[in-house]
Amino acid sequence: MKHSIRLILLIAILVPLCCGCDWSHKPKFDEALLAGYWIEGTVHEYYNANGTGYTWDTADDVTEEEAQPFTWTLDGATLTQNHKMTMGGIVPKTYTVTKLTASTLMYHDNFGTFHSFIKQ
Amino acid sequence: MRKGIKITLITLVSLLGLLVAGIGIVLLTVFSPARLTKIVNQEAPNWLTCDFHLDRAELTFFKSFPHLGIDIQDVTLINRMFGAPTDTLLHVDHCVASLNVRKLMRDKHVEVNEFLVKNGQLNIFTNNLGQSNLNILKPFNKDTTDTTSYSFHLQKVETQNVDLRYINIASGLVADVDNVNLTANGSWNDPDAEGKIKLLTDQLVFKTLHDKKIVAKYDQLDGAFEGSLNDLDRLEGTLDLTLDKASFSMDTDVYLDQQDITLHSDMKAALADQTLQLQNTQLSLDRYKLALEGSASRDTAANDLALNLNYETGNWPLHDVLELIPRAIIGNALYDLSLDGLVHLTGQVKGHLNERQSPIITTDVNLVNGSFAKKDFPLEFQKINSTFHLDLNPNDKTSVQVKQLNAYTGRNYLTATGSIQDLLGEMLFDLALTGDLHVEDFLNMLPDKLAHSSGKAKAALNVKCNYDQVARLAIDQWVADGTFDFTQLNLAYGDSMFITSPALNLKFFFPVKQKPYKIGEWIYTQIQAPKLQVRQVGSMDIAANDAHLDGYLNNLTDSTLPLKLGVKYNMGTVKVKTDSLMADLTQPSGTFVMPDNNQMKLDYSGSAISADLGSGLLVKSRALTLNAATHYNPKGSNTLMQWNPTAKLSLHNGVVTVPAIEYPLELPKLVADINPKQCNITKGDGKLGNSDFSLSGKISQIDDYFNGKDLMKGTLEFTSDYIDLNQIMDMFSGLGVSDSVMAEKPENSQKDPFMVPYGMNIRMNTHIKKALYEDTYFRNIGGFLDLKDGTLVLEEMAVTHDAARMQLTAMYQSPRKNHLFLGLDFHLLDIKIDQLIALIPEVDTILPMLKSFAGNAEFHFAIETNLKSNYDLKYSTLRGAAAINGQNLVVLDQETFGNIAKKLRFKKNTPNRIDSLSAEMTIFKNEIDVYPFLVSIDKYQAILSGRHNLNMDYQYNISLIKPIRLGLDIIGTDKRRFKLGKAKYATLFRPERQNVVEQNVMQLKTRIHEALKANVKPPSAE
Repeated sequence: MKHSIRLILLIAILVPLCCGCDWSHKPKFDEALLAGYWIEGTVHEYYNANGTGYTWDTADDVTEEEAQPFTWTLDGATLTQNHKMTMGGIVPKTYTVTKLTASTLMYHDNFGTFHSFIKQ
Repeated sequence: MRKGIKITLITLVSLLGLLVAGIGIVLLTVFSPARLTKIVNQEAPNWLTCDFHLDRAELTFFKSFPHLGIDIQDVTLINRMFGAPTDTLLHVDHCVASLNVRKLMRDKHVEVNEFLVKNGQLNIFTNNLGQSNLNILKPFNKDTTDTTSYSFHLQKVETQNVDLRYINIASGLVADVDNVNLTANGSWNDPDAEGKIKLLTDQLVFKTLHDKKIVAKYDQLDGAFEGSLNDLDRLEGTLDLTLDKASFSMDTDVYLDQQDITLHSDMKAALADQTLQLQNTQLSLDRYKLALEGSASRDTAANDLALNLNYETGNWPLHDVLELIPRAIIGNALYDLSLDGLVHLTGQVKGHLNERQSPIITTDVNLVNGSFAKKDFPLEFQKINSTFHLDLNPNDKTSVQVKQLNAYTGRNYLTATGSIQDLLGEMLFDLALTGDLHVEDFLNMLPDKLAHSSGKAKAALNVKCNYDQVARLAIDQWVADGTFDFTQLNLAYGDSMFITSPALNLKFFFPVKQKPYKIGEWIYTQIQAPKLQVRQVGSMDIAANDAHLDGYLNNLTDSTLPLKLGVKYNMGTVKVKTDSLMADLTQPSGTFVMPDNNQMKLDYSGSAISADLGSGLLVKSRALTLNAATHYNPKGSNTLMQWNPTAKLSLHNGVVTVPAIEYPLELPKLVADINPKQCNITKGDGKLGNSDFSLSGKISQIDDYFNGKDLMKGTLEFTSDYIDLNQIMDMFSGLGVSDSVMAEKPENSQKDPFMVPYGMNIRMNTHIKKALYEDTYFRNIGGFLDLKDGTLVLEEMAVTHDAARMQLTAMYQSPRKNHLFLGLDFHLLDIKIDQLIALIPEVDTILPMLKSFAGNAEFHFAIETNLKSNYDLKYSTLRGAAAINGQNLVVLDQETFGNIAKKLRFKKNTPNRIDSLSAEMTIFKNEIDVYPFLVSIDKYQAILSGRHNLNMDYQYNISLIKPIRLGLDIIGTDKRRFKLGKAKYATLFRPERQNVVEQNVMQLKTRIHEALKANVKPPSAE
């Protein structure tokens, strides 16, 4: 019983504290740094400052002219890419950015897929 | 006895001599020369008005033996006239006359035994008043009561060596005749006379003193006339006349130049009527003889001479005779003319000769072995044999009626009949000609462009033209028709077109009576040839059998005009070969019109055709009707656009073989209307490989397509009982794709991928009962197939398959062989999941979890990706979304289900059936993100989500939310692992409890689901 009471008290104390705290705090990155041409191996991504971009993979014999478009947003550390389909519709992809510098871009998704790009 | 006779004869002679001597003595005593001279001198003034002188007058016996005559010597008559060159009218050395006085006194008969004038000169002069020095006789004191009628007989009247000088100032005539020797005898018994006159003179010079000087000369005249003059009017007799070196000229015109003339004529003349009739008249000029017969009469008052003469010549050498014709008559007609041969003339001179008209000369000419050549005339003729009738009408026009003519010009044999009007003027030919000809010999008469032609021809022509038209080769101005039967014909038109035939019948007609083709019709021709070849160098060869051509040509003689023609044709068979076409035509007929080099119009009907259109494109057909036209535009971007063909085509049982397409296109029936802008297919039944179809519709903007201005557009209705898509895709792959793209080598494949044609925007509404794709049959395929400039679109194509009712919208592009694009909007309604995977194995790759289920589901799938040449996916380009709704699905993977059920504490007897399922997922590269979806299994509810990589790794989370909340992570790599945890999406399907992330997830699910189902059409009535 005492154990239960202590637990309730602990919750009663911690909940207000937690509510006053920002539990979802994530690092924020400057989206201006994202604009540019990034390469990860054979994967190429180009981010325009206006929120558009395109990507291609030379491993599949795709040229820059044949790259596929997407739009992007960077909200804090959340990078969202909406890949446009030619016949209509989008394929959304959401990543968490872990590093964004003038030369390095690193992000991953919720399934443990990590990407590390070098800016050109 | 003898002595008695001798004595008697001697006695008689002696007596005769005594008598003669006595008479002589008496005469010499009574009529001594002195006495007789005195008598004459005393009597002459009674008769003469002029002075006279005689030296001596004596009786003569010997000079007029056997008659007694008088011999007057050195007689001179002097009659002075002003202007006369001499006072002497007459001077003769001797004038001997013998008269039978007894008959004169007793019988009133003047018998002149002899009258001889010897060695004299007569000077006759007439002054400008018409007064003549011959007027020397005093008027007779006629005793009007004396009606005694005398008769005359001249035994011998003769002049010897008498010169005659005649001057008539009033008439302007001068004549000198030397050595006139005249012999005459005859009798006159009033009113009739008869006798014979012979005249022989030396040179005569006759001339006029007028401005228009006439000069006549001869060196010697020998003439004789023997005949009678009855009633002092009718003269009848025979005249013989010979003139040596006769000349006649008028001013500078020489009509006769030192030529010998002979004349023999039996003539009759009536002096009062001034008529002359000639019989047996032979006139010769040099060696050229002319027989004359007929009459001439003169009307002095009217100054008219009426002629009616028949004439006949000998066989004259034409060239020599023509040379004799005075230039004054013939002018320059022979200047550039060469004529020869033996000519024989018979004819008539009939008509009046006066100031207004001349008689008509008609002549029947027989020419043997003649020749003809004329400067600037393209042909020379030899071996001319002809009979023709000539009407020489100086009053009008001269004409020739050619009764028969045959001749050679070179090795060519010609015959002619007909007429030539206005022979000496315009020369109007109206001839029927036949010929055995060699074409090479007439090239200079043909248009220059035909200069290298050859062949033989039997010709039959009817020609109406004039000489000028012949000389100028103005064939178009002829009125002509004819037939040429050519053999071994080689007709060269310039150096670009050749027409050859071993035998060809050509009929032609000038001028054309109709102009049906508006091409400036110039000649109408009909051609029949068992074999005919036409070769346009470098562009066309045509070989025809049993050819019948009926057509018009424009003016071939005008080298400035392009060839124009309009032809109706009907042939047995034709082979056509051009640089881009070979064709065999059977029984072609129709019309071909070429208004100029840039336009052609063809109406064609044939029972069969087999054509190689180049580059392996073959066309065969049984019956074909075609109405086609072309207009050449050199600015066209390609052959099609340069020729701008239009055609109305009706084809039966045709076969088209295209090298780029493996199977021939069979066309049981094709009715189409084609022009550079559009193609209307009224009916097009076809069979291509295993597929059959019926096509109709319209394709437009063909010209814009070939000019690169715009897309070729079309709307077609396509129906078929069966289509083998595998075969068709193989056949049509790559049409219209650029060379650089086609040169690209495909990766990972020996076979080229299907390359979508460019430059076309064609919509085909398909109705296909059955189709085969891969190994699967589809039924009742209906929808639109769009070909849009390199993009192939199947728009909302409804397909029925054993596994599902499907609706497919698909897009396929082939920008390059190793970078294809495929987009699918695919809806499988009421599908059996296992058969779906069998139908589309790629689904198992993209949605590998599907194979874990069995049962019916509704599957919506939108995906697009680039493909390699072997259609392998380029995963880096893979984008997609899918939604699946199912109920009562059986989970086939019992082991997995068992593990899940165990981990989530399902009851042991929980069935492996999912009551309902509604899942959405996205595909990005090799990542398949399964958005959280709710499944109900028995009393359990769980939310599944996760990722499935195409390398078959996966991470799933099952959040059991009922009856308890429990989470299970399933991680599949080389070995599947299960890990219990908390429920990840406990409140996802409870909107009132959703957090922000869950709200975003649900919104994405909704967007995906709605987007995928938006294109689903309601099922058709079928």
